[in-house]
Amino acid sequence: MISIAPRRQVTWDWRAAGNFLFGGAGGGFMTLLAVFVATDTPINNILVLIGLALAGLGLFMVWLKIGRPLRFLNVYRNPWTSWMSREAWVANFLFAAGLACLVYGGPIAHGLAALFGLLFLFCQAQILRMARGIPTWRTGAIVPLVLATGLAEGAGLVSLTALGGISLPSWIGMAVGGLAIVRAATMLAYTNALQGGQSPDAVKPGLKTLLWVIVGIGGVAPVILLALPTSGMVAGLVASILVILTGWHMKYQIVCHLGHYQGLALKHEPARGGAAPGTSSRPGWSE
Amino acid sequence: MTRYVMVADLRRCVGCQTCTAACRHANATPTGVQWRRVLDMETGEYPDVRRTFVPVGCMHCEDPPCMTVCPTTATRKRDDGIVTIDYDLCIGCTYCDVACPYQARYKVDKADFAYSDKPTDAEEARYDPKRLGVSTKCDFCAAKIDAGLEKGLTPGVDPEATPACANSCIAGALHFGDIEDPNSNVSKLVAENESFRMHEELGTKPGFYYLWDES
Amino acid sequence: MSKPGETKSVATYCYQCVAGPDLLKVNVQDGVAVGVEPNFDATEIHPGAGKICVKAYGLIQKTYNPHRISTPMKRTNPKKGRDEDPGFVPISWDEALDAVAAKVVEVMADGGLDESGYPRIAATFGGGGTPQSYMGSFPAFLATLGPVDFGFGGGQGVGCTHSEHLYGEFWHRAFTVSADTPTTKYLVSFGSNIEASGGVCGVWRHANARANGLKRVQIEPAQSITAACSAEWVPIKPKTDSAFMLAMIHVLLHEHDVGELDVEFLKHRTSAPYLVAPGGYYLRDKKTKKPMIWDPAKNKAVVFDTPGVEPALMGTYTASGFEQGPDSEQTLHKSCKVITAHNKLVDHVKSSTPAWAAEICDVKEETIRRVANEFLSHACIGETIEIDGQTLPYRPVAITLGKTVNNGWGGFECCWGRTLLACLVGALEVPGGTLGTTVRLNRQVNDRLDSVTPGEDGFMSFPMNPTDPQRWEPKPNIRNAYKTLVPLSADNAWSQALGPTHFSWMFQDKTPDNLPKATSPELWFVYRSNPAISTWDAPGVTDKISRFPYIVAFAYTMDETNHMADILLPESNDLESTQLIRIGGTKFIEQFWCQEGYALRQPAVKAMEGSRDFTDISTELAARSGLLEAYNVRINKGNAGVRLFGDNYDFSLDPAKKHDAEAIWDASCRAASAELSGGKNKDGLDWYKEHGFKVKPYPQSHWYLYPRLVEHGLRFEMPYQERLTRIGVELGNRLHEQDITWWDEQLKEYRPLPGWENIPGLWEDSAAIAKGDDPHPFWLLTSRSMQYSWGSNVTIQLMQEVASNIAGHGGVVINTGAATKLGIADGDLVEVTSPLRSTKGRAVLRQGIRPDTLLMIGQFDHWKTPVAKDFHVPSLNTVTPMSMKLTDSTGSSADLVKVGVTRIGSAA
Repeated sequence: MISIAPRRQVTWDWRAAGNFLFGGAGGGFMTLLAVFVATDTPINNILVLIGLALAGLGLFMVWLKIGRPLRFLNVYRNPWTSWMSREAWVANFLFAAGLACLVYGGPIAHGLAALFGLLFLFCQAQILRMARGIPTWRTGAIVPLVLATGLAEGAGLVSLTALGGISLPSWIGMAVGGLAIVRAATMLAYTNALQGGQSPDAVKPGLKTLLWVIVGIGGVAPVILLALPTSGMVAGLVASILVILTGWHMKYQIVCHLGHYQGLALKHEPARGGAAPGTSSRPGWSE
Repeated sequence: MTRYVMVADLRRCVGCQTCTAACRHANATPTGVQWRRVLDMETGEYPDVRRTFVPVGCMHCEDPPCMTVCPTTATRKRDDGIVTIDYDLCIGCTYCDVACPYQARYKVDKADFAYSDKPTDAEEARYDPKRLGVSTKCDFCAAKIDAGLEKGLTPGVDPEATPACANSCIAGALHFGDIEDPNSNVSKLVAENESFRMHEELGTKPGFYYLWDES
Repeated sequence: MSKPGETKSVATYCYQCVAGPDLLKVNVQDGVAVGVEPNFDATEIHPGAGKICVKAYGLIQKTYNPHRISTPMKRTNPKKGRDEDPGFVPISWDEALDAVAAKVVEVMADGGLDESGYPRIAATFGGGGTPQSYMGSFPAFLATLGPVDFGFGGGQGVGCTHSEHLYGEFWHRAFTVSADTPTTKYLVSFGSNIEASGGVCGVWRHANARANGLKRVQIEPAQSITAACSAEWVPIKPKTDSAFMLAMIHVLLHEHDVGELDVEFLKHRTSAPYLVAPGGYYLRDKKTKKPMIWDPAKNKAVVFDTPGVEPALMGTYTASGFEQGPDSEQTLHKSCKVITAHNKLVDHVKSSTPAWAAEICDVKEETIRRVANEFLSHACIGETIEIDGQTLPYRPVAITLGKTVNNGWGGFECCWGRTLLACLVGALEVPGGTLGTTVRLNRQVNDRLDSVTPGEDGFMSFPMNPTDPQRWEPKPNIRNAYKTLVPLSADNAWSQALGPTHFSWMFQDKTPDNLPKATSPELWFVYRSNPAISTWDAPGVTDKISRFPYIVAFAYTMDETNHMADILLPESNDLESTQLIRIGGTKFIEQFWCQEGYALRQPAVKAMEGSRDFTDISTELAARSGLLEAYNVRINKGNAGVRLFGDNYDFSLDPAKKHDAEAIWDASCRAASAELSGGKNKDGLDWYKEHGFKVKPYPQSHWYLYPRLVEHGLRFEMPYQERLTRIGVELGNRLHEQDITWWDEQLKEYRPLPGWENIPGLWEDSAAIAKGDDPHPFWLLTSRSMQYSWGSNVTIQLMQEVASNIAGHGGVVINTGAATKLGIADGDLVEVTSPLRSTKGRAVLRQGIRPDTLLMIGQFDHWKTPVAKDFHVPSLNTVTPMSMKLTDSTGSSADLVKVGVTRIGSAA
């Protein structure tokens, strides 16, 4: 039987999700790197490489998924309307800026890398936003959510660089906590936007769980950890890891498990042989 | 201007799937790939139950979300409104699949045949490796329409210039033609009956009209 | 044949189901068939606009199916059974044909009858006569074999509309019944799933009719595709349809004035005014022996055909005459009270009120009353219509019946109720009304109108099997005893398959007292039939088949029946071989043409290597059996479909020579052309290969029997069944003379006015219900599938693929509420158990089915047939018993069984 009620899309699987997980975190990381880390230290080059590697890993995972990998260059053909093309172009600029950071260093190169990191993130948000077949993706509320989580993950990753002995400004913790709160707020807005007739029944329980994960484990918990008077480096690191992993979990869930198609519907059931027509019918949507 | 559309009269459709089978033949689609298919929708609760058969497929939207998102320009809209895919350009990213609110697209990565890994003679004769790893969908039998037009035939009137599904319909439910021509069969059907298009609220302006009552 | 690089379109026909034939074209590319499409050349002549249904699209895969049997084979394991490996080994055609011919010669010796007097040869073909359109000249070969038992059912009797076949033909030359769909405006359909089983013509005509204002009310326990497309679905309790119809009759007769009915029709075209004497038989005139009617003008009884009489429809009178009882028994009446048959009917249905029926049918009283009133109000009594320049009554109301309603117990009552309701409003065999499609028991087969000849008592003649002491045959000619037990089944080649065909199987185990023991046929031919799946108690039948000593199966793929075969012969199939068939005129299910003629099936592609054209196989078998001359004579006489000679043409074949398929069909084509043109045209095979078909006009007025009845001054034998009652008593007398008492229950069905019998009660275990622990609380039904019915196409992947788009294929349909109470979720594995055995499958939860009903679409449960054996789809046939108790007097039962359902596993 053909599914009439919204069913989970399966064409974008874990590999596609990988782009949003790693690419998003990479884009956020590149953006926040310029803010928090001195731009002209040798160690910074390693961090730039890590950021680019994350973005590259995301793109590589997409490449693994496409049906015709040898034709991947065609992805650049439609920057006029396709955010996927734009993402590919921006990725090139991001890599170029990253290369410039490595070769030349300096605030301009790092500033450009940060800008393209942010743009890369924005492209990802728009990719989901333009998927009009998937109610949980096409909402405008997904854009701030994807941006916020990318930045929060980026901040978390920056905070983790302390493990490598990198000196970070003291307010990095505040930034991580602040972005986690902002992300929780965008998540709340996102789930609000999908209430009622804006999303199919099948995704509603999943959205509810996800809200608690992002607000509770990915928002309140890290903030408490960071705000405790006894908080030390370990608490900060744990808070950052929570922020990163909950973000990844959320994106994976939204792409792979809550990405239900619109489903098929009738505005009017037909009149049959002189009988009156029926009402509208939208299986899988109770509102 | 010309805009080709399909009209499905829901009062007539009996869900026989003849159009589905005819499409599979005409387009030599692989096992399970039904560019045209007919839903069996049940609504209500016993004993007040309705059952409706709904032909679906690519709606050939005026504002096709699949085309907007396509990174390769493989998906295009012709001047006559038919939305096509260039299988030589498509990279199989399936972004169009998630952009389409009608679940009209298919992607097959591995050759799949009716009986085994080996094609039958008929499958071998029609096998097209270009269709592997890319998005595919209904193109209103565009090649047939073009060939028919070259012969001076009228799509929707002359079988030789009409999509296979409309030709095959044994209930007289599926009709094809130019909605911009006020005298075409489809324009008259839409004018003379109540109709709707699916998910109009999404702004896609589909080229597929469903008739549901007399106007 | 195609040359490399060539693309061509080949015209042929599809007759895979009884609703055909339809005309198509096969697209051939470089010699490979790659697609089919409607034959648009036939748009103007075919009642379905030249279209073809979904099954025809399976023909490409059918041709290239890798599971085809590609060479003749013989069995090497003498043991037969489901669990025995047949050990089939390939053999040459020569060896295969010689082996079969030797067997034919052997069994034909001594007249071809065995010790029980039954034919040693038997043959079974499936699909309601459709295999005949694919077996070339094989019927001519069969006709040379002497006695052949065609009574081993492959599904007929159990799966057909059996009571309708027999009573329909009896009452109005209606082997099957159809509405005059293009003209009718109100159709009450009791379970007739026309949108699934009516083929292209059915779907096309009904879609047009709906657009033209037809209101169809579908009354059935499970909401079929037809119910979905109807104005209204009335979920009735299974097997209570006759109560609904009795209540409709009550409404018409007791809630309306007689003047609102079609009084003219009742008085002059039915036996409603016939006078019934105290003994229950008609009062007859002593001199002419004719039934009498009451002439109010002269205030006396006169013979029914007295010119100018306006007979009384109602009333009790005093008159003299005699009653003709059974076995020449006559009762003289000097002065007795007589009553009109119509009056008898009115009294008979007095208590059959809608309120009474509502309880039986589990349908609201007001619904029953409303349907009856709408039926009457739509009848347009008094109006006329012009057809072919003739003015005919216009009565746009009809009633149709579906399988399980019109077969088995209750089928008689339902067929009677339907025919009577049509008569009450004058809507039988007139434009807009209820029509017959074709004849199979009466002759002439090609045009049912020509079969109308005057019989006794002002009715049409009917070739009833005699029940008088002199001519009744106590010793059956074939194993199912149709001639002995079922007078209505007549006696021709179709009759054998229209008797109690399941008896042929049932009696294999135990023949009832005082019938010769039902033997196994010594040679059994089987083609396009799989009784091991398609009969009730399919596993039991499988076991019986395994006891048949020599089976020759024309085999497409392996299946459950030919698993037991001794010889497998792969014929070139649908798109590979040649045959000419008759098309047009009127034919079931909804084939009402305004043309008649012939269509050719021709090789669109080169035949599969190893296969042979069925005609060539038949010729070789005839030649090797020493029957060539007789076979050729049979072909000349028309046994292959066309008589080769006529008044002014003769294309007869030389009887002494072997002719190949091309020569036989070329002669057939020429004869067909000559027949259609009165001898002027002689186009042969080449012409038909190019054009596909040839037709001439067939008048629409021939769709209706009414004008022919008027022409002959005949009446429909309604409402009173005097003749059947007499025949029933006579049959009982004959059987009792032979000490046969096991048919006594069936004899009760012969009665003048059917009433409500507790038909569902026959299936119910009332003891268990009373105790409140009924292990079988559900009614299990089946329903046809457009994708599969009659198609022999379960190995076609495309069919399974597209059928799965329609709910119910692939499992057992159960009401969502009922399932939830049993803890069954959609897709769960369930076991459905009848008193006989159980079958397993997936639950399909739907709202559109009664909570006390389950539905299994189609016939599955395959264990051998490639592709299908992996479906794991349950089948009603597995759990339905064959039973004397459940067999009605026509020799059929219904696709119905009481079952329980249990969840045994979760969704896959």
